[in-house]
Amino acid sequence: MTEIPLQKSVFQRNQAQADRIRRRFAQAGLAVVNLLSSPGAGKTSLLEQTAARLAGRRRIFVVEGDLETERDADRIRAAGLPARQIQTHGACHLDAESIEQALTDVDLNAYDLLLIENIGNLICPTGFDLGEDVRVVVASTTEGDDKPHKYPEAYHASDVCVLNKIDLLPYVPFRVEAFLAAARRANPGLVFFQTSCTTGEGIDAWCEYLCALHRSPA
Amino acid sequence: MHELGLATEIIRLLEDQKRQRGFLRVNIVRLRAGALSGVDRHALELAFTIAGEGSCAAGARLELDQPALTLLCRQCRGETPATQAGGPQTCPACGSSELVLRGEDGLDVVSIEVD
Repeated sequence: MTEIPLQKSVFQRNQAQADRIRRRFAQAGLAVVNLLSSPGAGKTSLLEQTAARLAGRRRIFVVEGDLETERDADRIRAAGLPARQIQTHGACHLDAESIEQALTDVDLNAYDLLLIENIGNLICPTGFDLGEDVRVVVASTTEGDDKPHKYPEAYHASDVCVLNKIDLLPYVPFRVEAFLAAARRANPGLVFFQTSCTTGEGIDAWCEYLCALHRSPA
Repeated sequence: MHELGLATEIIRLLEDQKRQRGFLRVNIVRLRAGALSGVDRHALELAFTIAGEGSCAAGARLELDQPALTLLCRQCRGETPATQAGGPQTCPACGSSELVLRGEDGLDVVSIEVD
């Protein structure tokens, strides 16, 4: 029996594909955001609000990831943005290859911002680079405030954390400070936004952040 | 589900190596998973058995090295094991609450033993 040292990342194939589409995005001057969350935290609602606020200010394209159905892409189109749905039929995350395929016939030069809504899952998507500039983890006040302790990977691997459904804070036992401390423990560099898609609170600050994103020249 | 995808990718990588190096079969696969990789050992072992059927790594043993998650104190730079409950709240050495999770998120095939 012979031992062969390899030192190869299991994610290397995805990483190579992600690097390739990142170059395409850069050439097109497109800023790319990858949104993660548990199911039901409000990713699609946040995108609907974003569509309404940024209409006419930024040219946005949305990629929706779900196990089944075209429902989320339909919601985004109803909110006025072009959207492409990826149905993974059971696979628990999007990978760079699926993004590349979904965008094959899309003219990237026609857009400023690509928003990718990942599959609702806090574990699997974290290892898969989609060629994004910014990764966002969306949490909500109807979840436990200890989520960052339980799923540190998602917080560790993100740049931004949006705490959604803050209009429900008077009715739920969610402790914002405990949540923020737990998230900072997983990642001291996280940028936080607190939003409600029902009242619109905090959406402007989130949208200004998106507007300020610029793809650095290739 | 996640681990099945990872196991499939590991098998793909091993088949590539077989084509390049011309060995017959893989007996042992040594992996290193970062503490923040989210990899579950038992799920990965099961997935590897399933994904490996009919491949050069069918029946191969998986050896997974996965260090435990630790907290780094930003004050005294001491490290302490992180508990499931997210504790401890303060550094056992200096009492600071400035604790930060420390760990890698990668999953690497470190080496293989082949015939």
